[in-house]
Amino acid sequence: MTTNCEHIARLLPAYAEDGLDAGDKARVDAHVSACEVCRESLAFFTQLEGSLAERHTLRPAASASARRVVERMGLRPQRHAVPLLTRFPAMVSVALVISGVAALLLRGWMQELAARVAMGSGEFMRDLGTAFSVLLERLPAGMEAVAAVNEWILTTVYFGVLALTLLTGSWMVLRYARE
Amino acid sequence: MGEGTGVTRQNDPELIAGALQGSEKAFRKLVERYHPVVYSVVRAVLGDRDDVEDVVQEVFIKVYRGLAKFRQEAKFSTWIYRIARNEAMNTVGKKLVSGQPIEEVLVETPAHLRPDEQFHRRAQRSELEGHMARLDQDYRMVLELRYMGEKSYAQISETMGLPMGTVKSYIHRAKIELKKLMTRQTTETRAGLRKP
Repeated sequence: MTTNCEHIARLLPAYAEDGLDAGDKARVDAHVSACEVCRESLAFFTQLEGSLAERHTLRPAASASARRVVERMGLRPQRHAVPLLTRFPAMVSVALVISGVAALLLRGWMQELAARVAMGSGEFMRDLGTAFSVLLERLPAGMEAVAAVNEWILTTVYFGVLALTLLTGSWMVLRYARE
Repeated sequence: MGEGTGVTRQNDPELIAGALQGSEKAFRKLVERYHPVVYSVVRAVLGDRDDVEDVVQEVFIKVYRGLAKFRQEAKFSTWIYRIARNEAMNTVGKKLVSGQPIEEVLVETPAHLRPDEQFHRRAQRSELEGHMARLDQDYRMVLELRYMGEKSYAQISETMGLPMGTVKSYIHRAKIELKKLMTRQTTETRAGLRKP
């Protein structure tokens, strides 16, 4: 094997794979036409390339494999867990928005209902009815009206709902931004 | 592997998000897309055994369970490659411990060939399987990804996290090594035949 043979031998696997540029390909063609050793070597790599190129036919169909995987696992563990966490804040937010819109639309009717409740009830319910009435009339100033009732439970609930809405809203925004 | 071939083709992040939201269709597409890679990797580690497809399925189950932890900083193909390689290596360990053989040559041939052609083809494939089993695992890995998985050099480079030059070099050396192994076997066979 000459020095030229050594150089050509390095190109033969790539030649058999059709991975040489035109210049190298021409050099190999010229050499193997005159060199029996390299010609035999090229014949080997060409045959090897053919055998290797058939290997993909041994691979089972991806669709059949996918079907078996899906059947085998039933897609249970994460199908419910993750979406529930994603959907819960969204459902709360939607419910709050719908409630707010409904309150605005039905304001008059609810005020009348609150007045009736206030007339036929004790001191606490009268105060509550009045506060509710004011809240519906002036929603932006509703917080002050509720606070004026001086009932710690009502105030806590109000602030609790407000905090929950802010927290879930922020969490949702952060989660979607990250995804 | 994540590259688009049509306008309606969903990319990996979309399919991952779909699978996380419980879409069976999205996960099935992911499996179909990465099956060639996973099958090639498992086959490169285990060789031609009848439990390759079982291990491939195990890999995808692990992929599904780990999807929520997958971070987009890494390439999905690289992440899935590591899972496949680890799972296959673990299987090899288990089989060695239980004393089961790790090289069972089960060579299938196309049914339309004549019996003599089938025999010849089976012998060729069996010989190639035997020689490939003797290659260094990295060489076997790139060869399987290239030919069993039908992946380009660039895709192999991305999947294995290796420079493109290294991938080319591995494939080149693997073929040279296969030539040496086959030539040696031929020489030994001829020498055996000449013995009285």
